[in-house]
Amino acid sequence: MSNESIYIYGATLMMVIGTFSCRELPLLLLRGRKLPDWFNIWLKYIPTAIFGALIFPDIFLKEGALNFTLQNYGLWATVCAFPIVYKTRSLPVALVAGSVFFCIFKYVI
Amino acid sequence: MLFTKKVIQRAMPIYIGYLFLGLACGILGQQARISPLEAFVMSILAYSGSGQFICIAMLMDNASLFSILVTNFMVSLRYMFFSTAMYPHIKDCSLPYSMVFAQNITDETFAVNIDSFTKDKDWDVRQGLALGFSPCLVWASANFIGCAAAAWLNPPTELVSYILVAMFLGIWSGYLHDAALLTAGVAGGLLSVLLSFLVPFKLHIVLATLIVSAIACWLEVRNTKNVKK
Repeated sequence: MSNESIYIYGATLMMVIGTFSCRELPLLLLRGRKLPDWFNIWLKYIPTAIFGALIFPDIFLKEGALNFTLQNYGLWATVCAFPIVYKTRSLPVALVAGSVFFCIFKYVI
Repeated sequence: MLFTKKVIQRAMPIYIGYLFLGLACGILGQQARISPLEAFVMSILAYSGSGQFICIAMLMDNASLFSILVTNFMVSLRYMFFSTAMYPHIKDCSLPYSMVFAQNITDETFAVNIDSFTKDKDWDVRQGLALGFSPCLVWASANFIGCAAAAWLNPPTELVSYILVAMFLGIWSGYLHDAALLTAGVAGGLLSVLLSFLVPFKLHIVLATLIVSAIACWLEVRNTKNVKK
């Protein structure tokens, strides 16, 4: 097996441990007892924080440095697409608007 | 596991959604040098839409396995909530059966199953498991096909990596119900950028998420207590 393959199967194993423990722990440990209130509040903030934490470095950084030039197509595409995506809250709209703006910045401007 | 016409009818929207998302996930996965077989295995075993998209983004970044594990654990925490809510309906099954059932809980199969258990007297765990597991096959096959097709189509890498960002943007927007959630997201983003200069192994994503969600949770718990007083 190549190193690449070992890395990907390693990542798969990590995914299995992550998803499996979260899905099974309530059956094995909680046995249906209610989760504490603070846990539910915490849970509410995780997805928004995680997607913010994923998106921002992707769009602001290029090769590890902040990049606000017009050549950072992803940044400007996101700036233009965000109001539409925020308004519609739709995954297909995000894909189409994002790709269209990206292509406009890359190929037209 | 019991396949009935009703299962297929109720799961149809999930099949269609997973087909397209799975194709997209496979195409993106190919850009992270995942083979069709690896994409299929990952989809069957992890069976987690946003988890897999995030994993692909981290593989493209050559993130450490540890940070992939912690990030994935955090995105999967919501399953704890789903499993807990599903518990009353599966508690009479054997432990292995209920564990297999729980492993087939996703956002979508949970929503349809919980709705069926509450509203339909004839709905049982055997149909519930069929409803949970059959979309997994669609998801994994679509991943395989998308991955194989991408290797053949060879789409422009720069655009494909941006499509992953656009996808995250779309998923993110679904969580932005109020100003507090938007603020937490933006704060998580800015902190993540800052931390990316300071911490190794792509741990900035996990750290930013942990810090921001913990502070937001603390603030909300404190505010609720103040209101009660």
